[in-house]
Amino acid sequence: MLRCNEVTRLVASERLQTAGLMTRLGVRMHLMVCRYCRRYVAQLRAIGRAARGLAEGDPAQREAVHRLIRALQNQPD
Amino acid sequence: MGEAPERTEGVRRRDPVVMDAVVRECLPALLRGARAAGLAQDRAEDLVQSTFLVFFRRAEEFDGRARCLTWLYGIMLRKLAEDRRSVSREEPTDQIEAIMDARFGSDGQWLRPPGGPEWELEQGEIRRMLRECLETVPERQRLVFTLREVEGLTTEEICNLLEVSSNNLGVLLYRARNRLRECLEGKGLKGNSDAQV
Repeated sequence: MLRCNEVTRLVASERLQTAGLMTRLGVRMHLMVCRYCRRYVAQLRAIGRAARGLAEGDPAQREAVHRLIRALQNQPD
Repeated sequence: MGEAPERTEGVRRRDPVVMDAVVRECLPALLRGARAAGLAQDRAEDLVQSTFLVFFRRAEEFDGRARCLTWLYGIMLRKLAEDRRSVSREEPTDQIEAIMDARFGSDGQWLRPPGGPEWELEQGEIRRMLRECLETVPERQRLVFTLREVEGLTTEEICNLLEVSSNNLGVLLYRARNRLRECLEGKGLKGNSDAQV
């Protein structure tokens, strides 16, 4: 049985995809029985989603993007 | 992950429509990457602009083996490395490792479990806090986190771009994510009491 500190490391470092089948299964089984690790994984997902939301919803960056695109379009060839 | 053949051809011929589409598509991501790498807004904008100028100049060298975005990131990060001392390997030790270790007992079980609920319902609040928390993440970790989570590059693409091993990338991602999680938890993003030990 995988331990909590191993599960968190595998998930957060994304080494799960390259891990063997037994490890991947072990993580899934662990998550079924350990609600703290489930919570941890859910929180990491929420952080990723929030980071994407932050990037899309930033008006200052949107303005900078338009300014740069205009500048590039006006570059002489 | 490669680029579509039609687009590769368009870039190589410097087809204005294709080039325009590439700029519109990739520029926001590059700007976010430059900011994540720790540049101030004006320097980030300069870097992105000069990256595209290199891209236009060397368009016929584009072979489509990598996506346009990855190619552009490669140009940008090389330019960035020229400006700075070349990006070194990730430090073997980092505060966050000790912080995480202290959360587990010698049996590897949670001693101090993650606080708070799953944060599913607090997206707005997380976003607000995350902006501040991102500032506390070292540049290299922040860049890797942004490329992966925001821009959706594959781990393989990031390894090639930054010339790091997949193990090293794993360490960077682990540290970035846990720094952010710890920071958010520290800011009081918790709700239910069973997390208190």
